[in-house]
Amino acid sequence: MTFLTLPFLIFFIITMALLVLIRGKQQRQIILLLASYVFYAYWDVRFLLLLIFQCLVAYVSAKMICRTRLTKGSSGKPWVLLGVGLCLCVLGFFKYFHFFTGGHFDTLTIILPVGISFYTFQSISYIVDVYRGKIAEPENFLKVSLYISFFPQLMAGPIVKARDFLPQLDRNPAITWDNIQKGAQIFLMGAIKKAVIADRLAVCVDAVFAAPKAYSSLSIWCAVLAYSIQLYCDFSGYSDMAIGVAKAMGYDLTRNFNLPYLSANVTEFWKRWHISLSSWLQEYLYISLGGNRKGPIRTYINLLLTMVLGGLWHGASMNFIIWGALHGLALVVHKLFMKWREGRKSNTGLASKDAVTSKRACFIHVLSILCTYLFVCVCWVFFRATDLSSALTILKRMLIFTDGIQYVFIFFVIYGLALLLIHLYLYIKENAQGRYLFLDFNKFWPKVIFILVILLAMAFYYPGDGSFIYFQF
Amino acid sequence: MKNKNASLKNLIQWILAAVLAFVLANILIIPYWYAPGWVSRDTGATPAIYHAGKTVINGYEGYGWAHVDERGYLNEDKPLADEVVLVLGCSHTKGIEVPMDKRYTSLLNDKLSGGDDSKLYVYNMAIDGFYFPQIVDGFKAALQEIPSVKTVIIEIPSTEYAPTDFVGYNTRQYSADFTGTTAFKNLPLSSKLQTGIKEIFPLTSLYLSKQFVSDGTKATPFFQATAGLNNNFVFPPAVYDEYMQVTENAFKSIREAWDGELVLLYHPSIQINPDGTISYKDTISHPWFFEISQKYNALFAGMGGTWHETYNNKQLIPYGFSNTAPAQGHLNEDGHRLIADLLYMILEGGNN
Repeated sequence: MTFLTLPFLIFFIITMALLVLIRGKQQRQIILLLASYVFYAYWDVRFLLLLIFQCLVAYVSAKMICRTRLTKGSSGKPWVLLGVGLCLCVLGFFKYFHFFTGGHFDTLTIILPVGISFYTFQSISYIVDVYRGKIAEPENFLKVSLYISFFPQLMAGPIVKARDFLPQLDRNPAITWDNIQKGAQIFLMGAIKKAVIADRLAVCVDAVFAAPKAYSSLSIWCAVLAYSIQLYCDFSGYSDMAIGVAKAMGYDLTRNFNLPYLSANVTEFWKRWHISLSSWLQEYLYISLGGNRKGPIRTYINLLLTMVLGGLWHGASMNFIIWGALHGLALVVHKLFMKWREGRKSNTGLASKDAVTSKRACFIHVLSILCTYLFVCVCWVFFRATDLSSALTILKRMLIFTDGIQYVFIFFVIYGLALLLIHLYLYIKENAQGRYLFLDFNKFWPKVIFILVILLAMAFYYPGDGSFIYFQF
Repeated sequence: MKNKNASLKNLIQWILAAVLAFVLANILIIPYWYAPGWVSRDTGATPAIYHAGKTVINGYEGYGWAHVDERGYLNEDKPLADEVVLVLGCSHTKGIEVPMDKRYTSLLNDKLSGGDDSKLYVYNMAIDGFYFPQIVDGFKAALQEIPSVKTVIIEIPSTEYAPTDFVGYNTRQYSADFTGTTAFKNLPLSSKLQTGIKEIFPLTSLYLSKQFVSDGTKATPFFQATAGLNNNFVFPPAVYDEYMQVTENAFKSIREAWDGELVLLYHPSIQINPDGTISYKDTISHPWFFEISQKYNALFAGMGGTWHETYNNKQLIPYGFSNTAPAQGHLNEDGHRLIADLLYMILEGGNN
């Protein structure tokens, strides 16, 4: 069951009706948990047991950590290792079995349970947060399970942290008209990104990436840039829909994207792209590896390692490893550059504002955004290409002018320009913070605009393959 | 009471907003999509015709517009020449994905007219899903509808048909009551209303046609509207004998109705390979179809070689548009142009 289907609409209406009718805190939590289980089981009922198992692992580990602390006075580290280890083993088995067995068991079909990465990450974050004392001892299994299984973000995030979500459960948010209106608008925005933009751009991207040797350099460039938009709209569209659904029920989920392609450097990009994953990686992997506490060399190694593992999380292939490594290297280079610049500033005694005129600073900033975007796009080639040789073919054709089929996808031009204008507007108006803008339904024309957008979205949505890219991760 | 009034006002506002938005959306969509109503019929060459005198606008796949003539097909409103080339075919020939004057029938018309644009030398009688089995059944009726035919061209995008697709041989009868403008007049009121609503609100026909698109790569609502024909049929060897028999019957019935010049225009679909080459797939029934065409003195004009040559020399692909993908869906302007060139060469070259 995905968001843009009739079964989901029916499911959601029933869930909302039950939440309106039943107001008790615990009863509502039970409804939400059951709804989440139904939502997950609708995809494949067998893997519901896996989800419950992960929840149990998180709950029992957290409980044992707290109990060990109380009774024995120790930190409960073995329980952290056991809990996190179990979660990772389950994830590793489903995700990397064939990669690590070198194809010796190809006849054994292992289906990747959808959303496994996301609920595993939430389980791990829960265990570690309890261990680090950031959240209190779990009260009951219901809350822990609901935090991990909460259906809007179960399949593809955003990865919510327990300390952000559990207090909301305690508040027992009411179903309000205001939240429904806001949720509907966020959802609509996500639906347009996904069904109108991303799915349509997939037509061009899939065609070119399937046979790059047939296409001209210009076509390849268009497809690569189109993929950057497709991926952004596909994933941020899903996140928006998840945030919208949760908002309608009164819950606030973490914002997952914030105008990522307007980042001036790779460090900033990772603060704006898949925010919930990058902050998870930073908090639970980079810091666990030592972060920047063990000197500059270790900091760089940790950064690189975090990004390579982040790449490997996306898939067991050389392409993802290269993608992660490229980003890791870029982060290291940026850190070194910042260090060098700081040193230069202190040596010359000039503050950056004094050193450059505002026009020049603006030019450099725009150039930095362009360079960062291009770098990210080049990295996406590894992310999207079916194999390494295909990725190298595409890069070669991007760099060396080559003849071939001339194919400039018109929707890439239209949507690309529209998104650029919207991004620039949000960047300037909202001071580089891509916050959600809402229509005021107390007035007449916003109502017309809202319905008009829905009707046009239904006219322009792409009726082909509508699967979400990030479901495979 | 105050709250109740406010809620009622709000509800009325939402209803008004919905109505206004619907009207606005229908106006906005017209440059992208406008489809005249279909008139279904039991008589005549084709199972349906367009509402005569209307305009078709299609930005869904490629971008094209066309005029519906007085007979309900997409042609210019001009009198027929003394000798006409009649082209029977499916959505590729109908060609609403390109501007009307870029279709192969229009290009061929320009070439054959010798500069006389007051008459129609090539008549395009094509509708969606009008494949070889349906053409065979309506062949005689088509000749009755267009009496001054010199040459008949039958477009066949595939030679693969299930024997059960051949529902009849020249069984469809011509009826003046269900031709062109009279056909719409003779429709029952409910059908007229249905057609009217679709024409006033093009958004509804766009929504409805989208429901039929299961394979996104084809990116066209029309491609699926095959009047019950099984597009993906690949016959098992067991029915090959039966296939040979029904196609032989088909050619026999065509020749019983028409002994003039007959051209079979075969344009196979193509595929872009990962190594950068293209290939076109000739089905296993292709040699038989070629053989049977020769037996019944029909010229088999295959486009496969031209597709290949044009791609190798100019990297041009005959199918697909800048709003779909290369090699997917319908013929594009290059495809139409290449077909027009080949047909002109055949017709003027005396079948050489």
